[in-house]
Amino acid sequence: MQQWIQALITGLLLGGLYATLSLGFSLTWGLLRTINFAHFGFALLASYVTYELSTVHGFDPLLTLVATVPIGVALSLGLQWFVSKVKLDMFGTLVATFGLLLVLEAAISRYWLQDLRRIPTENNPWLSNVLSVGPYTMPVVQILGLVAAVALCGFSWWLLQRSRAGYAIRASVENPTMARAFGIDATRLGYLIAAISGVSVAIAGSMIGILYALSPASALIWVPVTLAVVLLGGLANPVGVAISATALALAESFTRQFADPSLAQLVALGILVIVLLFKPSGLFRPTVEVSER
Amino acid sequence: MTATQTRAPEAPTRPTDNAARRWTTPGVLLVLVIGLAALPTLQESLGLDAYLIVFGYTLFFWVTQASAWNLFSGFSGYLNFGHAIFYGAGVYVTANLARESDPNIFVAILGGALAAAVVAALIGYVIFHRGLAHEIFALFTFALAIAIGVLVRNVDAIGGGGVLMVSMVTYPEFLGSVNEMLYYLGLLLAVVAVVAAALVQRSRLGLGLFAIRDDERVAETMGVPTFRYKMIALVLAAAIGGASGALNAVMISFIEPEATFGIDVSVMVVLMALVGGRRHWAGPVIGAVLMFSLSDRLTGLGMTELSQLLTGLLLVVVIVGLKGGIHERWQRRPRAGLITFLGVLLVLLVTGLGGGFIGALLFALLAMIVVLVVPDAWWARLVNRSREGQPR
Amino acid sequence: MSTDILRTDAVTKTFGNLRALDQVTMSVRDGEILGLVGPNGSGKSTMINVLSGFLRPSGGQIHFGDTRIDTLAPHRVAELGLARTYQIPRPFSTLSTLENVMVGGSFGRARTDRDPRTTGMQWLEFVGLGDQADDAAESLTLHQRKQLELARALSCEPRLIMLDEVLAGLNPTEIEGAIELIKSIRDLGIAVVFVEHNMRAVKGLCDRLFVLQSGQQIAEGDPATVLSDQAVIDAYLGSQHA
Repeated sequence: MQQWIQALITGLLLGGLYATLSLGFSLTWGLLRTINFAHFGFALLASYVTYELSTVHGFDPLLTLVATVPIGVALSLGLQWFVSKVKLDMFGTLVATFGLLLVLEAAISRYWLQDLRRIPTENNPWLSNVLSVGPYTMPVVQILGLVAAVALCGFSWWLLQRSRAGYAIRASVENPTMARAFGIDATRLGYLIAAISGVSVAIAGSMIGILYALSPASALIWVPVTLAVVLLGGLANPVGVAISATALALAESFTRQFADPSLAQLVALGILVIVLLFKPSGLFRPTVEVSER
Repeated sequence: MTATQTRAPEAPTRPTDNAARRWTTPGVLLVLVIGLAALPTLQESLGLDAYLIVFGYTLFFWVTQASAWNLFSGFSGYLNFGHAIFYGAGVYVTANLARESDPNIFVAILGGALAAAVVAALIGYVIFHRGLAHEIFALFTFALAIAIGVLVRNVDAIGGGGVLMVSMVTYPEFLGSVNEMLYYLGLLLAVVAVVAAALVQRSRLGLGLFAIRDDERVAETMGVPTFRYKMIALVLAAAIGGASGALNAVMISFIEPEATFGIDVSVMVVLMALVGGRRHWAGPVIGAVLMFSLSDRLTGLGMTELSQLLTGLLLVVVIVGLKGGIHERWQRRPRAGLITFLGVLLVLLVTGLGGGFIGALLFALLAMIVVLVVPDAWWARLVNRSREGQPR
Repeated sequence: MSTDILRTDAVTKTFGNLRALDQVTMSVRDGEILGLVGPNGSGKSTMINVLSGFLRPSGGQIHFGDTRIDTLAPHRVAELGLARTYQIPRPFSTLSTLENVMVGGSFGRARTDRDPRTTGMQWLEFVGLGDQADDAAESLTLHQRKQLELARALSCEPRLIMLDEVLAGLNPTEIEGAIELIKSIRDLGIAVVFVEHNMRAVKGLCDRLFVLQSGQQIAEGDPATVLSDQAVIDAYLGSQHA
């Protein structure tokens, strides 16, 4: 019983990270029609910046968010500018951002080399800062991460479903011509979405830097789970992202606890395959359904 | 009412291409293949570097993989970002056969093709049976390749606990040394892949795939069996990729999950086809020759990161500025391209300025690309100036 | 000649709470031109999408000849001899004009020993696009794209062709030509379902009319009778001539 509850707690906390990492990918895909592979490069870069600032310059790892968030936002906005400038279709964004991911990876392995990096324990108070409730433990930094995830998903939900800007965004994705005729400025709204994506990817990246060891190739480890979260959660559906991230993280956590831990990484994709077989539209509705002509 | 009654009135038919023109390309290619097949026997007497045999094999490998990828993804528009799954299926068939005893290479190649075909059929069914969009196919295959790498690393029955060795394979004696055997069989597979792609392109299957790429729903309502066609093409592409993977296991001999299912193969084939052009069987061939010569030279200079950086940048540049690939540009001025390529190649080979055959090949290709990508307006001005107003 | 080639029985299509088609029972007779008319949003396009297999009906049955088709994949429906055009032309944009038409000749019912290139050329000549055979479909004008839509549907050698607003966006001269073309399609023995807003063309071409309003059938019969039907006049006055 105790093991079950601990696995539940671990899963919930991991779900926060998955949701934070997946939110931006889902929003840009569903609303900006950009499938952003470079997302994983942005996260990786944020991780390494957190590593660098805390290890070399002695900053508190959480404090490095002050640097990584602006970097994430700047990269996101830059990409959005580029994509809208050269007018890439969705297929084009997929290929181009993949190229960008390779460039980022190459640059990172040039600067930080190929070997595993991890913030040393003496520079990383958060790794040992654990909240204990009875027999159960939960790392404080992951609790903060969960709070951030809830805040980001909640804010995105509010923005898309309850605010005027969200109404305009949905309208401009659903029917760009009509939206333009009503004076909706899709460009500025696009940058708003890109900025939210940048904030969340930076937070996710910094969390990864605090919690895990890094290598340039490690960016790709996050692709399967992110894809599963995004497709199950419904494109650009923040609530769907939060729920499916939590569900997948729980499934993974229980697998780790009670089955072969090495297979935990495959759980998310396995679930995705099953869902695609029986309910290809995912479990949640996308925020905007672009109708067939 | 019968079908003939609904036909339109007879219209004069147009003259078909004459036979001579139709057989030019196959003829040239046949001569090229015979020349390539004779290379190992002539290599010493011509005083050529023995490395050329290894280079040749690896070049054939990439031509095979890129052509196989393009046969499905280029023609149908369904971008496969996890081609390494099929390649890896072949690699691991040979690797597992080699656990017991030295396998026969032909058995391994057939087994590799079969294994990859089965995997492809499963993937195709999951994605295509309910008509999922092509971007989901792209992401799914990419994620699956990563996941399969993890799976193979952890399941000893497939991955042997991390590393498998392929030390030796059996094959008929007349194929010579291992490197020569690789060269001949690699050439054979490349010919199979290219011919398969060319045949598909000219067949009903190819026309159906092109229609799917442009507008799948219209294609379906015009009678194209889209699900079946996507499955057939994907399985065919996978089988060729798997066969070539099975052979390549002998080349790499030290089989590891991450290197096999990692992004190297998956991304390289996409890039080769994009650079060369996805709409024609010749596209991936051009792309493979160019990209492999380039990365061979760069790796030779110890610039692996630069190679990755260039790969990434090229993906961006090609998708933004050269959507049709080199082949499309080639169709606009084939003669100028060919003359430039052969001319530069000849000059560099005779003078020795290219730094050997591979360097000469690379520079000749680059020179040809420069000629091909000159914007039309500039080109017209250049040609006019040099010919003093003669009509082109 | 009065056997039904196509028959729908109480076909219903819902999108969420919206009933786009509500228990529609319609039949098309062999060799006739049936006008499918109704104000905007009355369900005409949904009807064509359901008939061609693009959309699955939520209820009811569709028979083409003796075959039930509402459970078939669209390419099977095409093979049986049902073809359609699109209101906004959707050519295969990277293929040439001729290749566009060759797709139809290479599959299903039209697949014979004859070279699809030859038959494709004939269909292009038939609609008046012979000179554009080698042009990229992307480079065609709107009028030519509409012609290509027709040639492409004809190249499937259908027994029934559904024309979705083929006249929209054309100038008067082009409309005259298109009307003649549709007549000659009927003369080939092909039944036509003609969806159109241009009432003069409807009156001039159609043997019978079938009127939809808000997904429900409100009238059916010969053009003169139907167009003087009070319910039909109300439906149109309510939306168009207001």
